[in-house]
Amino acid sequence: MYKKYRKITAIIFVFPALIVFLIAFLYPVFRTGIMSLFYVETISDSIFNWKFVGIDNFVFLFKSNLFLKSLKNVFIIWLIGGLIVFSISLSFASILTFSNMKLKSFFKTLIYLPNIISSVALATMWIYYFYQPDYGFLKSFFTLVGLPQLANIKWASPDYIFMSMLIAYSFSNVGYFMVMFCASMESIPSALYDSASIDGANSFDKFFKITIPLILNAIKSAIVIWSIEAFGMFVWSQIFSPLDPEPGTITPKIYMYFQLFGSNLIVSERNAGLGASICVILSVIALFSFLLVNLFFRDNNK
Amino acid sequence: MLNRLGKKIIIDKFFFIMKYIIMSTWCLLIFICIGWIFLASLSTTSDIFDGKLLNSGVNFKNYYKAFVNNRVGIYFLNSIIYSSVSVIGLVLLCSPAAYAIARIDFKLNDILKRIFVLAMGVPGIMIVIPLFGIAATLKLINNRFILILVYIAMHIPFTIFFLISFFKNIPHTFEEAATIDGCSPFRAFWNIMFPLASPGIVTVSIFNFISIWNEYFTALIFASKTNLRPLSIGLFSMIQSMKYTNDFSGMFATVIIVLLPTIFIYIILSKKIISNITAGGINE
Repeated sequence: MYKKYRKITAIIFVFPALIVFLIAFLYPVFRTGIMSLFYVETISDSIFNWKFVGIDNFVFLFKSNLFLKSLKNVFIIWLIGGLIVFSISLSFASILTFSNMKLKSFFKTLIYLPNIISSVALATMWIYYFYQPDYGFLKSFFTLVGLPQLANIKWASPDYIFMSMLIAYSFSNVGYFMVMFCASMESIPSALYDSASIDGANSFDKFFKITIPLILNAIKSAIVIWSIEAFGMFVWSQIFSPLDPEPGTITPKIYMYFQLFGSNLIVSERNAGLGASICVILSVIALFSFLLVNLFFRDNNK
Repeated sequence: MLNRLGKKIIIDKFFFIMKYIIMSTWCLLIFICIGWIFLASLSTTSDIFDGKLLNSGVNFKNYYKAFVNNRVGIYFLNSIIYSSVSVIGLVLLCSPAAYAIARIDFKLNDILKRIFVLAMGVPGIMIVIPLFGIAATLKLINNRFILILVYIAMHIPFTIFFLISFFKNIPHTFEEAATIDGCSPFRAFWNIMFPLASPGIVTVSIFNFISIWNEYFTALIFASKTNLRPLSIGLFSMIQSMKYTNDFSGMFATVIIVLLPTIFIYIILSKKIISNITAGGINE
């Protein structure tokens, strides 16, 4: 009797969250998946007006130069930005965890700070202060140290904008991953390092043979999070080219936004199915990164 | 021998100082950026272009202008409504559910937990198109309710996942004592378990609040009307109109208004936030 009572309680407790989740999360996810296989004239078309086209939407996207360009952009950000973010955040985390520095928690707190600031504000800071060609930080800095050639570079001009965005985006993400790695490194027993020192291991040996293998789980989830974020990049691209999406900084999500909602200046097809296909492609990339990371690191481990 | 040791000490000292220099430079850059923006927000646009911040004195005109002329006040209010209503809704929905999944055996525990973990890996854009379509059919676009619903739906998986571990760690004796005393399961939950789990509930609410406060993409789609915009969209619309207005100092004032609340929360609670960053802490 008591057990049955508890079960009913459980169902009543789970029910509201589950209903919202089913209606506003799970159902839309499946609907987007199905929609990607249909031609849908406008986004609010009822399901009866959808025309089944199989994988035509995907074929169209992979033939569209602009979409391929957007994929290439996020891929470069994922790869190069990833190398920047992971090398800096791993070295910062090991400095903060393993040296007997003072002010450790102060550094950690300040380096993490950009992550709680809205990306819109952050990207605005970079483009309208850091890279600004008249009064910007780089301009003043290079003028101050006497390097006029560097000071005169227009970082926000079409030639440099992608590189500038890549650097700004990567640097703004360091703090998050650093704190994640710190948490993981702190749980490594220090006895391991002591005995390695006695055996004559140097700092590099210790880093690659003890630290990295022992924080592998954190690195795995960090790679998955980085992949989802980098491929789904939106805000930075929009702030760095606020009026029309420039091919230079376009990302798949920007392409999707203009295709579905925007005043279509560069993307003119009217087919909401295409937008859904882009969502599916981004999700598949996220899933793929998860599988790949697990496969790759498992083989290495054993 | 001594010489070698001496060399080693010098090298160690060098690396030690280098570490401080690297860390301090990085922090200094962050500090300069935010500090400069703050000073610029108190200057005039021509001061900014002359490279002499605060040349014409400290003036709060930009903030006044932002709040009065540029409707930043409305945006600010909207941001507060969206973030706080969603956060409260999430607590009310997710804490009973997480409690039930964590502590009551009813066969579905494991499946439900797995579904929520899987859902955490699904990019948020997957739910945007159909919800927009449905909302458009029901004429609910440009309605605060629908945006809040989307925010709640997006954060349910993470919130439940996070709270399950908190409810799991509460000792069973409390519940048993409550049942023996004749407490109904509902009262047992709200009067005993909920307060005991409050550290976890507060932490997850901070994460959710910051994440929703800073959210951009969904708001851009569901709240395009001026009166419904949150701060992030308001700032972007200001940037777009900068082509005509050239109001740089006003824009910097808006940047400060956007980041002040989260920085304020962060200064008070940074320890709590940092100690809880593990996989999937803050999803954009």
